[in-house]
Amino acid sequence: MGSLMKEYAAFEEKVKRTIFIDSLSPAATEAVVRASLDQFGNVIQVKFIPNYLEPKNVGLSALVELENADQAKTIISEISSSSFMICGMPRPVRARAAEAEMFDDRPIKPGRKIVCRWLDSSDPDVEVAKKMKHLVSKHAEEAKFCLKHQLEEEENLAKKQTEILNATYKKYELIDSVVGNRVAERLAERYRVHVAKAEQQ
Amino acid sequence: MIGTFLQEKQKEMVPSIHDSSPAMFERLTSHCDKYQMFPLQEAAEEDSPEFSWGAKKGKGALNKDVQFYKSFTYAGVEFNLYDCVYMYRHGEEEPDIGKIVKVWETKTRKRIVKVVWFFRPTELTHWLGNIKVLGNELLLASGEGVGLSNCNPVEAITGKCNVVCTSIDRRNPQPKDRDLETAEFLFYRTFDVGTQEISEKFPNSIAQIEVEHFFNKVTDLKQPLHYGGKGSLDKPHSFGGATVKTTLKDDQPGRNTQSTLPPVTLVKQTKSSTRTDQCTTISQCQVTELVEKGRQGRLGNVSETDKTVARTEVKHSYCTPSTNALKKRKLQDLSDTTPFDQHKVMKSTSQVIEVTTRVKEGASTWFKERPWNDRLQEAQERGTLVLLENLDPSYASTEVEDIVKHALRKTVSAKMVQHNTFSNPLNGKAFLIFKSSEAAETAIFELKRRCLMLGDGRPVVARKGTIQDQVKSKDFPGHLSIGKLKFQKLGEEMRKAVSTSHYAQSNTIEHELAVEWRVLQEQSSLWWKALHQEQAAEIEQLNSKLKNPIKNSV
Repeated sequence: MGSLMKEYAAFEEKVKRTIFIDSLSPAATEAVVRASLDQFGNVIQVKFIPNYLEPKNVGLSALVELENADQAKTIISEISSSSFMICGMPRPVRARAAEAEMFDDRPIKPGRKIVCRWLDSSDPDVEVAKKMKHLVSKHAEEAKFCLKHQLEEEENLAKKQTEILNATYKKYELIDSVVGNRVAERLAERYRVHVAKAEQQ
Repeated sequence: MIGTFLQEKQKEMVPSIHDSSPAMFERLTSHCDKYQMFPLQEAAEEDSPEFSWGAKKGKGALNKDVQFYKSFTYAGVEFNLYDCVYMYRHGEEEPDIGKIVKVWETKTRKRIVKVVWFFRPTELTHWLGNIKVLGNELLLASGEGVGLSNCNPVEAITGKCNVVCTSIDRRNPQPKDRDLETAEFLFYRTFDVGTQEISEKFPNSIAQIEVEHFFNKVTDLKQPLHYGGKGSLDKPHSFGGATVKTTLKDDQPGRNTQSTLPPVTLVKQTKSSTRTDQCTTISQCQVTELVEKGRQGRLGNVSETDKTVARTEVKHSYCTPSTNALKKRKLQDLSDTTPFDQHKVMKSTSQVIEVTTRVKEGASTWFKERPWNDRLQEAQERGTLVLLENLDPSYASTEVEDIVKHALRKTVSAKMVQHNTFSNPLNGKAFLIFKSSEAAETAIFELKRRCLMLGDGRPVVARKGTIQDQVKSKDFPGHLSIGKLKFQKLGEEMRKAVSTSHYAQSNTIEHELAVEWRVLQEQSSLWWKALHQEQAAEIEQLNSKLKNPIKNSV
């Protein structure tokens, strides 16, 4: 029993110094994540969480184990306060403290006895149990809908931003070209306005 | 090399099998290549289990470079000639069982064992037809042909297996009751792979080995099995408040002998209805414990890897009088208690089943299982994948396996699904891989038809598992690029910045866009929180309507 408690205590300690990162691009690899977080502290392990049940565009998430809990806290606060991007922009990643349920290889919590029982059709609780089952599926549907909505929002934002980006880029290109081919200079002379001369390339 | 030569030969002989059911056919042929696929090169790597040879037996007659042995030690376990072992076959959930009949090392330092196979009844349904088989019965291969034996690398062995022969052949030393209890499997019939006949008669030799070697060893039966004593296994542990009464075993040795494996009770009619009533739920746990102990007993002081030892140590409270008292009380409470049939597995009354950690039968723990991902994909294809929902999210994967074992009487491999960004903190999910698709279907059906309530008053929901394709999508909404051509114009630095990581600088567009994203992220986490809170409230409401909640003692 002692060993179980120790194992669980070690596990809890590990959880404290692990951070959960999501909104990662699918292009991010372990090496990239490790390199990007190495500047904050010693990264021991990076493990991606496989996505079995959710739609594909949700973004990758990973559990990053660090050397100690302080490093973990620092990273979380840094990432939360300013936009940190890994492997693509401008969508920043999110980080928060890991929870025990995020690990699928966790040890058994000691001191707990699991009991279960089958309900017969004559049992008074059967109705309630059936309702609960319905509730579970209802909740699942709600979650699915919420997720869909979220993904739609994200895509909308991405589209909007692409447009803005492209428009801004065009503007800059235009300015660049105008300055570059000295049209701006000549116009400035005409209108007696002072404009910086284009640098000779 | 002898190994591949034999396999080649067997491959050639395949077409001659007529009228074999497809499953058998595939199994026999697949033996040849599927074992080879198991990485041989791992033998050379440092992290593979340690191996050392035991007593030598002599050199090969044909090939002087081949050295035969009588025994070897692999990963801390000693294997002797004529021991029965589990062998893992690539792509199968269940290991195969065979008897080692030859052990040798080739010139190229490859360690090979030749095993004669035992067939599981499920593999011979075509020939068994309506003949009844016992739950843990095997059939020994005999005769000549494909499927009789194979030569495989030692590394394919995943553990020792305790197989007892119960044949009444006069050459077979009869097993005692104790041996039957500790046996994992038994056999008394053979399946001739040439004539495809099942028979209770044993020929004089199988695979050129005298049949006496296939019967029980004379020394086996004299092995003392210390399930009464206090070995290193019997450390008293308390689990969940109920203390282990290891002394119980001392007091009631008689009880142990009576609680045999359910199938074996068909053979040995030791029925005493009161005793077995109490024992039904716990018989499974007890026997697996005894099996472990039996194995430990035979191996002497050699203990298997830490994991199995840790599990055997947690042999807790299923024998305590308190559990029986609880059961009795429940029996009195409910008005319509039907007397339960000792062979009927599902309880007809709402009996509280205490879920205890069981010892892993069979495959030993040093064996590296295939990566979970592959197993999931495969299980989905075969229809053996089930998704359980509404579990307590703090369960460990092994606890889920135990629950299924106790409630559904099925062995599964389970893993909890890791919580993600959107996971409901109250709802734990787990993937189960069953051994067959029928087992999976019956399990889902049972869970749908009846309600399995967990400790905190929540019913387990099961459905067919489907997993997303693990193909990574290239595009990620939110990661923008200005267009390929233009991207190339951007300098080296720019590219570096994108491919690694950086902070947004406040005078760039990037920064503004990033802030927009963060706003969206905050919004989304808020609405998820709200959703989960609402759902939790709904669950609470229903929960309070439960009349007999079982309190989980956390």
